[in-house]
Amino acid sequence: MNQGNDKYISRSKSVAARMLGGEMMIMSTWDSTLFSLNQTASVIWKAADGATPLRDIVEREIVANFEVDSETAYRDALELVEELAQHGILKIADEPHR
Amino acid sequence: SSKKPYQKPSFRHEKIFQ
Repeated sequence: MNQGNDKYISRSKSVAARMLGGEMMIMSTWDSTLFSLNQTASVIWKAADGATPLRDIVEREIVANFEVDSETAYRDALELVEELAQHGILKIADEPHR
Repeated sequence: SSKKPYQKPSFRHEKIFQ
């Protein structure tokens, strides 16, 4: 497992999130933007506890349950979390949240 | 094999703000 340069993701506290029809609906209280995540993105969102390395989340939640290889899944997940972080609803850190 | 078809993680967003 590549722990050396892994990322840790955690949900912003200024959002309200609910699962609706298989998709995660997220309301940013900061700028009143509504986000709708597809099923795979919702899985990553729910696992974003700030303590589990992103690569572990991908292996455990995505690769184990979906027809995809590890590298593709990790690359896609990284792309997603970087975009969500740009919108301010997800935080990315190099160290686990204590 | 009980794995589900993979869908690239993605999202949509819209400002809902007179």
